[in-house]
Amino acid sequence: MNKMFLVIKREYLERVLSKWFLIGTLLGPVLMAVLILAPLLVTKLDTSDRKVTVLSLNNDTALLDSIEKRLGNKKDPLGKGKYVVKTLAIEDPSSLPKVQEDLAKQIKSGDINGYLVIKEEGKEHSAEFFAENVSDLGTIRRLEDATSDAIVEKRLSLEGMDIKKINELSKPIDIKTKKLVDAGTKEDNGQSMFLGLIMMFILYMTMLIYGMTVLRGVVEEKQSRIIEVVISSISPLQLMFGKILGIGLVGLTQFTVWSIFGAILPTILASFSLASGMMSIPDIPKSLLVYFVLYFVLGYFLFATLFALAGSIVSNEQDAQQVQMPITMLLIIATIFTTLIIRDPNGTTSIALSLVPFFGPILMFLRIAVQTPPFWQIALSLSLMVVTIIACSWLAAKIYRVGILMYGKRPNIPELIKWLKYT
Amino acid sequence: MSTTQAIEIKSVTKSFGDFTAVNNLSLEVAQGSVFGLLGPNGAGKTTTIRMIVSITFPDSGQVKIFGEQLNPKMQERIGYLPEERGLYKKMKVGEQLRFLGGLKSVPSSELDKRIKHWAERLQIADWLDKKTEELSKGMQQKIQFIATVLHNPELIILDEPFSGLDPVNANLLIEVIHELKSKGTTIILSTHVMEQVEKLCDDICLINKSQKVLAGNLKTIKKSFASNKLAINYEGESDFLNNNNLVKKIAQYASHLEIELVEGTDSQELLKQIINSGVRINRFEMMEPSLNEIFIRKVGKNE
Repeated sequence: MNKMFLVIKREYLERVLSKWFLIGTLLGPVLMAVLILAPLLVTKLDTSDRKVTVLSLNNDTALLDSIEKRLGNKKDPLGKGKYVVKTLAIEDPSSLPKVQEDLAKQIKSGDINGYLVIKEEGKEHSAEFFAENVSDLGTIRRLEDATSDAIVEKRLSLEGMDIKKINELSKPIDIKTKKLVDAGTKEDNGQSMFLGLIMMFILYMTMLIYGMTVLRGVVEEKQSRIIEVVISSISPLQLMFGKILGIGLVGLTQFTVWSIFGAILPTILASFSLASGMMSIPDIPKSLLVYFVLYFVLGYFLFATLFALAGSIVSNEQDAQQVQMPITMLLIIATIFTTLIIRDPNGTTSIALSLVPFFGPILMFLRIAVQTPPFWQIALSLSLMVVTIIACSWLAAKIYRVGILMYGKRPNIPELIKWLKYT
Repeated sequence: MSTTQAIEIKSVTKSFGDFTAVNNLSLEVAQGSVFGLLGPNGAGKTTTIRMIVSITFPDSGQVKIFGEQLNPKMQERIGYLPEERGLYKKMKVGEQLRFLGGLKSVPSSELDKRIKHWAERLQIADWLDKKTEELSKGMQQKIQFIATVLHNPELIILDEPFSGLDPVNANLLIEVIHELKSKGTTIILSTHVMEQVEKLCDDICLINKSQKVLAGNLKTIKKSFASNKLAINYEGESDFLNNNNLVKKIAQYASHLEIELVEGTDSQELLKQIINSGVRINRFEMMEPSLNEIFIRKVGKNE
């Protein structure tokens, strides 16, 4: 036991003290935060006004006024600037080319960003926007909204309808979603699904990354030929489980750092005065955190034993790439079913799939996050996983102790079955 | 010291599937001796050694070490330097030795002292803080040797310990092996370099195709292989060698002439002839067969 502790310590320290762990653990969340914050910060920096001239070819000053009222001096929702609208009613359409020439000059000199030409033919309206930059979709969208609203209002009033009444009657409504939880109801606009998916994704990534780390560790010991020295002091089983546990602890360490980071993130955001409604980080229910750690530990252990088995039967990195495929596929297949789980978390197919031990960490966890299933299902999933872990550990141990001393050609399945019989 | 053997192997067989790696092997290694385990590649040496250090286990037969049945505890009394050996590349040399020593249950209070002692003895003390991957192959070999002896084992198994060492370091290692032997350590040496075996070993066992072909005291074995080779130095004409029906083969070396006699010939016959031919003899010596020759004769015959 004492010797296994030495192996755990070695595996743990070697990785926790490596620069990759530091980069992955510390810079990972920082990078994620930067990716979320940077666009927000950048738009905050954008203080320039949007200067637009609106033209009516039909000398429709009423329409122009209506558009200006909707847009002029209004703040841009993303940046800090506002819309500065000038209007130009044209009586003689034949003068348009000259006017356009003039406006083009203004665009060149930077006096305006662009101009909008509105034309009316019969009851149909058309509009064209001219600018050097026509990729500023936000601005174009605002122009479009304001123009159509103004035109629709004009058409309706021509039909003799009361504008005020129309606005009152056509007011849209928002559906507010409330999640039923044991303690009552709480507002939930898809956060629980979003949160569930993010946590599931973290589970998926970490099981995969740390599982592969186990595989690489085993192959490395074989390749560097340290293995024979080590197992002349310690049983292969102690070495294998020491390695799995040591690397697993690295994963848990990473989670700890991340949750500390997650806990202080809102404070950081607040200090940037960015903690607006859209940025609020949903509270993670304690029970979900417990299940997260539980499913990571079991899921990691399950896949790590398989990855250790895979590592023990190959002698080089290329072969390792190949044997890891079937194991990685198990994880990938599980993620394919996530949409099904989200749409119908308690359907028979969802229940059946989420009970499969290899899918449990992905699918049962997602079910718990989206709509907590009856406890017996969770308990059954966990127990099935424990049983599978024991079976896989037994299998991995049998193969591992033979495999680590075998070099050269990768064995096929019948050969592996023979290995099981070796003493 | 008691009379128990360091190692007693009795009719041990070990197979992997259809392949029999060790077939009904028996051998004994006396405590405090240096024992040469010899044989061509694939003869079953490594499998035999792995059974002694409890890495693999025999299908049948018995392995006793210091009079006890094989058990994992025994690993702490054995130091094993495998032929295929390596180190953790990313670890510092000192850490690496601490880890490997710890696995052999050396108390941590003792570890640093012993590492320092051995590092100085093998002239690598300056390297303890370096990463292993920065070391040359020969240096790494010394580290591996230290890891083998760090726990003061009573039995040391060295599989090709000299490969990769320059002559200076190889001599250093030979010195250390002699020192260990004088302290009563039993040493098993497995190598293809027969000169080293002749220098170091008391007893040998030659394995070929998973079976024992020759075993016993090295000197006795060498005597039992009657020699028909002569080394001579002379002054005068070499006519006496032309069409001589006593001589089977002649090899001319810078310093002497080597003559292989026809089987069953008395060397005195040749001596008489030479003297009669008027040549002056400075050296006339029966050559003991080298272990190399014995090895080739024994293994070659079985082909």
